[in-house]
Amino acid sequence: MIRSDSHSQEFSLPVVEVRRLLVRYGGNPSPTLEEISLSVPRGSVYALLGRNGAGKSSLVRCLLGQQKPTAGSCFLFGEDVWKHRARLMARIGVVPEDPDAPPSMTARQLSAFCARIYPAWDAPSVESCLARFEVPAGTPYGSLSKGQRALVALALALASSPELLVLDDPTLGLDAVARRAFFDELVGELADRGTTVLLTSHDLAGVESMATRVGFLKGGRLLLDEDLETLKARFRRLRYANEQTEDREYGQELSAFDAVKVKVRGWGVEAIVSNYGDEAFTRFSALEGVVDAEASALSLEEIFIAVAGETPAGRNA
Amino acid sequence: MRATLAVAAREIAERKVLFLGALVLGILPLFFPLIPGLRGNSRDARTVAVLLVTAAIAVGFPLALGATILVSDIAQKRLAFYFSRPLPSGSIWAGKLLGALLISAGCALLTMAPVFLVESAGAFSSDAGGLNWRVFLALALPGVLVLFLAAHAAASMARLRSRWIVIDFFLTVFFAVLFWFLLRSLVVAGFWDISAMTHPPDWVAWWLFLPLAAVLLVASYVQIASGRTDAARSHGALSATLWVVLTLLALPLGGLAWWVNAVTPKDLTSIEEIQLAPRGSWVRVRGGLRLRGSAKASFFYDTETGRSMKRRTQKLDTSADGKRAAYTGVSERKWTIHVMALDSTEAPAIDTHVEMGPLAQLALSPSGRRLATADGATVAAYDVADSVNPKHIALFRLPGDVGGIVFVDEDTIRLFPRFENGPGHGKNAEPSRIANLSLSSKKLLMTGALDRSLFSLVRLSADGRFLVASRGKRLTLHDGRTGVLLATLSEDLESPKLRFLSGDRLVVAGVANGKAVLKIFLEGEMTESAPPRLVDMGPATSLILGGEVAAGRVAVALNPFRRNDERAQRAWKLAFVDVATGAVSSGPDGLVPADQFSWWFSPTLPPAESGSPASGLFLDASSRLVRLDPATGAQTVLLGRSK
Repeated sequence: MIRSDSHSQEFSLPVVEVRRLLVRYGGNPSPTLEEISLSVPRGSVYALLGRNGAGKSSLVRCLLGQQKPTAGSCFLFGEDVWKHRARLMARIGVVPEDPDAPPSMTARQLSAFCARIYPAWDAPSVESCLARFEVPAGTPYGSLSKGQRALVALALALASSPELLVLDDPTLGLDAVARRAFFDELVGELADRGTTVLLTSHDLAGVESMATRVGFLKGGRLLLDEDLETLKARFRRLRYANEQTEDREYGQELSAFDAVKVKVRGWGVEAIVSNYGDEAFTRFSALEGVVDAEASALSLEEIFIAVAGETPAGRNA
Repeated sequence: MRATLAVAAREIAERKVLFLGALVLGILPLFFPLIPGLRGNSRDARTVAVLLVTAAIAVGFPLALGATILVSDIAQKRLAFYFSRPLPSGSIWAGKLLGALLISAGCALLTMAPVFLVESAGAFSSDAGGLNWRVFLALALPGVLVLFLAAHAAASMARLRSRWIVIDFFLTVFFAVLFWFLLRSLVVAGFWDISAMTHPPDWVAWWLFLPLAAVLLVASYVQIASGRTDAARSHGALSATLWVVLTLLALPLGGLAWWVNAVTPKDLTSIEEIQLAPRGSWVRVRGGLRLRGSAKASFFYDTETGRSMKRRTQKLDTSADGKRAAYTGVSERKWTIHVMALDSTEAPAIDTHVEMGPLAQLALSPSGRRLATADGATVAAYDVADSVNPKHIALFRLPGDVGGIVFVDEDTIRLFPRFENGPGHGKNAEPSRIANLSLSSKKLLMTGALDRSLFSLVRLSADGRFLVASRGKRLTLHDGRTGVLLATLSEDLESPKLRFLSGDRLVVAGVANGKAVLKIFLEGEMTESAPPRLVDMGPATSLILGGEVAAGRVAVALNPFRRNDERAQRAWKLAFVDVATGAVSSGPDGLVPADQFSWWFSPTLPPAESGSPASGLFLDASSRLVRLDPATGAQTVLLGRSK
């Protein structure tokens, strides 16, 4: 009875919970992560987005109990990961940003090694997964291409039937084919098992199709943490021709939408707004001086650029 | 355990080619008999080659693996592979360590295996100039562990490069120096009696390696458990743990070193060496210390006032009044001569900076204001009256080595020949010269010679008037200046001993035919023609001749045993002999004269003086220093403790 209660209690907790996480390195005066708090509900796919150096990998290392944060704490399944790392790792599959498996070991040897330390290990699934990816199972890990290494890491991460998958920018440096194979496998896994996923990436197009929640990380601060559906619903690009009136300042007509970016073009005004609503848009279209107003949806990348002021790859927008 | 073994197995699998290499190296010496130049000695060459390769592997592999296995994983961020698995930190650490140790030990053993299989264990037996297996394994196993961990710690500091490296550098030097001095002070104090070799080398190795291995093990474990994949934190955890644990080790070790060295004569359990000033009440004592292992200490100790000074000394001489002492002591890791006023309340010892070799001799003038040294054939004299730096007075080189040196007076130094017993110093050798050295005229005057066939040991009377030479049972008295034979004192006593007594008398004591015999020579009777008075002391196999406890009354200790065990120690019987009448009276049992070693310590015999404080000092059966009042028989224990 008690076990059942604790089980249901754990089920109601977020799979991942980060509380006021602060990471500071050496003599660097500005923290790499500045009191980040976020949570990932069970069954969701959380995409943590940010350019290189935003603090994504530091957050993942803290989340996996590999690094002790300067302050704050990380919980997985309601347990402090720094204290209970070894036990918690049995429930987690990890695909690191940099392939970290011993380079002399083949994928088959890696699978055999993992079989000795995981309570449940599906070695055949690793073999079949590698066959699907067309990755040779007998080639030393260090001799594989970067894409192949990522796919081996994914195959190993999935073989323990994890409740949580942590993917740290897994497609960084992969070509389009490898990236496609990686995400296809991941999507298939999610469809089959409903595994909770925490994914850091700057490949916004890749993650957009599967993420249910996103966080934007910039300069160590979490700018945004929201369901992707809600996020995409409230962000729009507005285009309209503007006829200046005496009783209103230029652009004042956008005040109801919380415009994050406004550009004046030759033909009129283009704005990206973060508080879009159909009723508000109807009222906006009827305003004096607003002509030919139209609203269009934004991709995740466009929203990221609008919010973070830069592309995930680091180009200033 | 399962996780640890999995990690260890993975490490071994990754480096399995090393085993193959070791096996090949082990097989190569089997072909030595085919090499033409080695055919005759192929077995020995084979054994030596295998042992050398094995030693190289046993040292090289732990160093190389220690510097790479964990440190490279951390530096290249590959340790995350293990930390993202359900592996406890301890299993990752222990598995890597176990893997490295098994690779090192396995490769070393594999190198020896082919020759071992071909020639069996005899190839490496200690009889064949090879190995004592027990000692080899006992030394190799902790040695491999310490080498691995030390290499790991050093590589972590060098490769993980956090700001700790500055602290590491200074603390490494600091602790190396600190532990060197602490351990050295304990060794010098004799806390561990290395010379006695009471423990086998493997026992010593374990006790040396084990604390170091334990410190490094703890530090490396904390490094992995706390630092995990964070290189900077990992370095910090290693360094902080290492230095904290070393500090925790240094504190009790420092306390122990202080405890062992902060001793007074009251801590002496037994007196093992004692040297008495010819006059006055000062003695130099050395012995074991209470609750301090096998540590020993030596002190200058005033038997009248109880004042003492702890001094590590070798040779010692005192002024005629016993108030100034010259001794060899350690200063800046050299044995130099120190001069000290024993009766001064502050008693500062003056380091003359005059170095002394192990065979050198020293002497103080009767006033204690001049010092003479003889080292080989070189004789030097200094004025040490009131200066920190001794004033050089004279330097002479003699034709031969000097064996004894004594101030006849403030200006004259008498030199007499060195005890020589080797080839070329037999009956046909040149006679040994006796010389007088005048410090005022800077002249060396050969005053006589001594026939080498007469002596293997020469001693001089305190006033320089007489030389006493002994060789086996033969004891002869010579003129101190010319070496002319005055009297054959004894030819029948075993190991005869001699004392000059007041009133120009002397006594010779020894054992002949199971009986202790005293030969008394009165004033004017020290000639070849005058027979001595004989005193039969009764049955004994050992005898110690003491001083003149009162005018004409000599202390003699007799023992029925020749050996030196506890039973024999308790069997000593003290007697007093009246040299005028030959009457023997019994003294307390178990006591022996304290200056029993004076025959060995000094080239000069104790002065002919009755009733001096030194003559009233005895050692009891527990080797305690006891003052005996010969008139009343009252005993006062001055130093030492009952067993």
